[in-house]
Amino acid sequence: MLQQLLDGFLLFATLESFIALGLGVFIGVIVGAIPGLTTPMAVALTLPFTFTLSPVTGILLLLGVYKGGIYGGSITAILINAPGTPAASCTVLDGYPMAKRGEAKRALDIALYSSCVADFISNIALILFAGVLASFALKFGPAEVFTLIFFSLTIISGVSGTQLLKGMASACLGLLLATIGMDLVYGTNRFIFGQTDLLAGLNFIPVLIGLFAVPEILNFFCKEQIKLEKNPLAGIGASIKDFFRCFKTIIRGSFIGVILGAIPGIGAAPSAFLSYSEAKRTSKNADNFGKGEIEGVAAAEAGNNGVAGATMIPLLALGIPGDVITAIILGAFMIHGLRPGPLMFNENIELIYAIFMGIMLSSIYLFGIGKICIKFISKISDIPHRILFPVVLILCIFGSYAVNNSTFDIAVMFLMGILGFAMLKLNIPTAPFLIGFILGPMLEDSFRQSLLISRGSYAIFFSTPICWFFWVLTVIIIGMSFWTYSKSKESALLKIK
Amino acid sequence: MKTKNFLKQDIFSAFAFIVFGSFLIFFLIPVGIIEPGNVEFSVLSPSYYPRLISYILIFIGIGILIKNFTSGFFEKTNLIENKYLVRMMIVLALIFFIIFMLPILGIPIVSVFSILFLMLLGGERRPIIIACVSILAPLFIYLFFTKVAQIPIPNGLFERLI
Repeated sequence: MLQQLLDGFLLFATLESFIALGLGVFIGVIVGAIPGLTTPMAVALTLPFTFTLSPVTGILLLLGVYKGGIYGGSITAILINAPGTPAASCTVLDGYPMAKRGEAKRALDIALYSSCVADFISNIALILFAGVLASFALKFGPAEVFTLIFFSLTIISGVSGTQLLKGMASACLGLLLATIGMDLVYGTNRFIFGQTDLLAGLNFIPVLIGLFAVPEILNFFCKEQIKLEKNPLAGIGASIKDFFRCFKTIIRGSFIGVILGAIPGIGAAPSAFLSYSEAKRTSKNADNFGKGEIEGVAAAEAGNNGVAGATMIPLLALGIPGDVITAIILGAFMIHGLRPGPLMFNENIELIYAIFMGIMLSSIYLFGIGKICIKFISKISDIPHRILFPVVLILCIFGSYAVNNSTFDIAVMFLMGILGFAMLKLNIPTAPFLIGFILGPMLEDSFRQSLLISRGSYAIFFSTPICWFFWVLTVIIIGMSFWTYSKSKESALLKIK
Repeated sequence: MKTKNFLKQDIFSAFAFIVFGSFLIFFLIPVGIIEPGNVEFSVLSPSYYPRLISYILIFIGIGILIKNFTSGFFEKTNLIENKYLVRMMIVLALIFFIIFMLPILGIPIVSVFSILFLMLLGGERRPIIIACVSILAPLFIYLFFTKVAQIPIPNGLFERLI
């Protein structure tokens, strides 16, 4: 064991590995921060550079890009209300209101601290529990995934505020929008109307940018310019007190991320929303969520970064890629003649140890690089909106185009922007729409896969203890939401009277 | 007053949800979804899930209506102040201009004009700032996407010049 650890250390402790990992994190942070450039895109573009590197260095470069990318997405989410990645879409809910109050640096700091802690916990979980979590994750069939996603939809009650019914309707619209494209079971078209660009469905990025960034820009032009209120916290970073206030939320979010990350196909966005919802449910400042609550930013970032190490669990322990990025990393392993899975733990354990060491170092790199980036990037929030917003709009155009090299996506972004603006004016919450759109495909796929297996019988959704566990949780959460909603309605009516 | 405005908006939203849900059930789903002939169970049909959500949408719309009719407030509301309505229409016109002119003029040129126009509309009056930002910002973004990210950005009629 000690000899293998030493061999692993020797494999890892090379100058090129240190440089590759740092460079990877830096590239990831920059790419993640640009709307339209996705982390999978960055990992895929970096892949050819790993061909000439040693296996450990190459894989660490890709892991660096991956981890940096997940954090980087939060930067634009906080500063300009345009999440760089779908995983950061939950961060906008409180991050951007904080930036509007002049607390961008504080929000960016807490996002970084939460990301680093969650990333670290996720890495530890990968090292210690890879085997256990992988076997637990394998128990998730389509029915279990359906109940988990259905449970995740209860987040809607958390992000709808006092507009629960409108929030539910908004989520329905998101779920409907996600059905556009080719039906995966029968291969027939849905809502295509002859437009071939719609065959693969709508891409996340133009929808995300359109729904969050564009309405904010449109709104700027139809209201009085409001000067930033005097805020004693303006320009000041997050304090130790802030960090410890959010510590419980960060730890909880990290564990949510670890568990969901270990399940192949779930991804970081549902984890961020679930962590946010749990934070809101248990926080003393629940009423401030959605209005710029620092705990909300911490919860979202802990949730999405907690996934980073955990997605490697099914990959390394079983050879199953949990998402697109780990599929690319699996490709990198195979290019170097390695096949992740149980056999690799026997045949190349020193390589696994070397990767573990690199992964641990990536959290430290993330902290350092993130801190440097925040120092410069947080200045963006000081730019007057009359200059910043036109530039942001152009960045949105380039970003939307870059996803598929298609001007059609730019039109989608603008249409979603107009829809988002109408929703803003009608006081319909947009976050549930986004949740519906992100979770929709997973919900429908698992729903139909389950019914295919059970030959149309709904009994499959109640067939295992995991399903029952999520049903009970769902009922409890829905019950609590309606109780809270009726209480808030009563108090609102009293105020009117 | 704010609460009354919310209620008025709620009624408009409720009608919008009911109308859109009905439109989906009676028109968009039958026309937009191709039903295969060999569907073994109706729950597996491609239209089952969208239809289910459409019904839920209608029910939610009705729920919002009932909630608001029982509270009984009808107040006219002004979503966008009249003095900003023209500005809003100009921005919307610019959006449609961008969508239609992108294939012709290309992204960089459209970006330069859009930034310039929006900055003027937003109230920026310093010529040097306007000139620098409207030229340098699209140029920097363009160079980043084309040279660093290696994404070919369409230049429209100016393909040979840029």
